[in-house]
Amino acid sequence: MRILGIESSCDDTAAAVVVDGRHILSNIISSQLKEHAPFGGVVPEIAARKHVESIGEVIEKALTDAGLNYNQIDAIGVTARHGLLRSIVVGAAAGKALSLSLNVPLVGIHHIEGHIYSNILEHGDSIRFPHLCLTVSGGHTLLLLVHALDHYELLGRALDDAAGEVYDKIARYLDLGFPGGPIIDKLALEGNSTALDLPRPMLHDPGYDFSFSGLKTAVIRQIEKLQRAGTPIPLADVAASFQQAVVDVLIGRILRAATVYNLSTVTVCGGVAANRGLRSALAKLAESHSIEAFYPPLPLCTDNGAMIAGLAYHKIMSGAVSDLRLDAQANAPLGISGVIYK
Amino acid sequence: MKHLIVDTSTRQNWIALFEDDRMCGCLHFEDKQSCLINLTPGIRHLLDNAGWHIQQINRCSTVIGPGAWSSLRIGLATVKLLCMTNQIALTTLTSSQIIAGYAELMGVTSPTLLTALDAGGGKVYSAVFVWHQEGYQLVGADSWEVPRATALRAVDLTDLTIIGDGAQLLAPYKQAGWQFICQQPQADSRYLRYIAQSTLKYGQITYEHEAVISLKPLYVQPSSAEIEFKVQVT
Ligand SMILES: Nc1ncnc2c1ncn2[C@@H]1O[C@H](COP(=O)(O)OP(=O)(O)OP(=O)(O)O)[C@@H](O)[C@H]1O
Ligand SMILES: [Fe+2]
Repeated sequence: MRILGIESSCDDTAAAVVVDGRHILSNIISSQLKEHAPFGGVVPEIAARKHVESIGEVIEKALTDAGLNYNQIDAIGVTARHGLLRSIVVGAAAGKALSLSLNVPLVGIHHIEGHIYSNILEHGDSIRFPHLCLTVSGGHTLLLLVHALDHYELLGRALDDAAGEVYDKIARYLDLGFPGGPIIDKLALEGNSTALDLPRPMLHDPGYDFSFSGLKTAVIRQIEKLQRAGTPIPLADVAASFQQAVVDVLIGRILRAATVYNLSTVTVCGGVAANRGLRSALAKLAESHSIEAFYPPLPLCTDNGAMIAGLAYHKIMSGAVSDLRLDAQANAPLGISGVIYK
Repeated sequence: MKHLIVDTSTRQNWIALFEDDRMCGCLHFEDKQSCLINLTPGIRHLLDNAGWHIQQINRCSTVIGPGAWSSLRIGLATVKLLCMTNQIALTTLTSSQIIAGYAELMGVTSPTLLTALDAGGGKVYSAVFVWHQEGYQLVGADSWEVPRATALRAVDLTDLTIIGDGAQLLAPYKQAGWQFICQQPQADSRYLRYIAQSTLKYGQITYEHEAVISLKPLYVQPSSAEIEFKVQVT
């Protein structure tokens, strides 16, 4: 079954064609970075305007790259839940029009479920259930127990800023550019991760929640101290020390949950899953604790249409098809157990 | 010719089907939240009732604004994909052209017509039309500016009708020979015929495949973030 997936929940306009939930024929992402960079963050109205301009081209390109024409598409998957409402509606409208035109089923997908699926899309049956999934992105830091596709249990979440958000805020504070994640990640390669003494918030607290805003404040305080002393800011050291603190907390939480729930499969997804520090720490954890750890390839970490198309296949197989009245929701519970994560 | 008309530029969303001059179906919904929910099912409903298939449509017409931002985008994303997948030519009209159409329906025949939309923030969105044989034709480009600037540009126009919800903003600058129709024209399905006919008669801007793909709505103004940002920079 060839499914066209459409994703427009934030600032990337994306479309992809995936066969049977596993084989990616195309994966097109039109980034709006240039438009939002001057503002140091995503501006919803600008994002929505750009989506409507790009959506046609992105969908056409996804088909061309897949070597298909419209009539060879068997179903449409589209992000309908979670994100910026005025952005989601553009992709959702396009998906509905395609479903009507091609007379094929339409499936509305929850964006976060799409991220969770990105590892299954890539690694298939190697991902066993139940498994532990850390969804770590610009908007979220969630630790989930995944019982089955569509069945999630929330173990922990960010009580304030999400991990990706803190990367972005620190980068903005240091005038490094947007988004901050990849920039800080790169800088960290050259730095000394013990140069700054930073806290590991909540690492030893009971439960599995996260809090990164204190870490952000601690970083900013140390920078201010250096500025007052007239010392040039050692950007690479700041980046490496900050990144190490984030990674320590994320890995610490994963290890505790995996131990308590006796889980040997761990997945990490979302934009921050692209982080080199996190990926290598995860590999080390896997080796030292006989855990199988998975993360998606880079193009599947940040927002993409392939994860939406891939998950749509399973929804269709289980009969969860939407009708043309499908609505968009900025926030929606996750899965059959209705996990509230915000 | 089978013709699909979609107008989501205001709080009243309209969909209609025409076979040449004959209206074969029409529906409208008002709830401002429901454009995404109702638009595609509405199109399907009309097509089913008429016994048509979307592939039989020869032309699509839509209003590209200025207007309600989100529903304009929903409308345009929808018609874009319908046109792209079925190789349908897409004709676009601006909200100014729609208001000129209302003026015609109301029997206005003054040699010049100025359509005025209240663009918010004390500004007026306007366009000038001249009466030409059977109806109003747009002359020059639309503009978005303070009312005084619009009035100054119109100062030489005598026998002028100013129509739209922005007309009241121009009232303080009234000249001899200017008539005002200050209310936003009342929507009813007659204007759909205007859209269908104006497309046939005057051939508004029509886009074929490549050009349809990158079409965007007409916005009255930049987003507030852009405006604030420009203020910060300058
Ligand atoms: N290499 C990296 N290291 C750390 N963070 C990164 C890296 N690459 C991207 N990010 C971060 O990932 C985030 C974007 O991820 P993603 O696109 O999944 O988030 P989102 O879609 O905006 O949020 P959500 O999925 O929660 O709605 C940004 O905050 C960005 O800084
Ligand atoms: Fe995302």
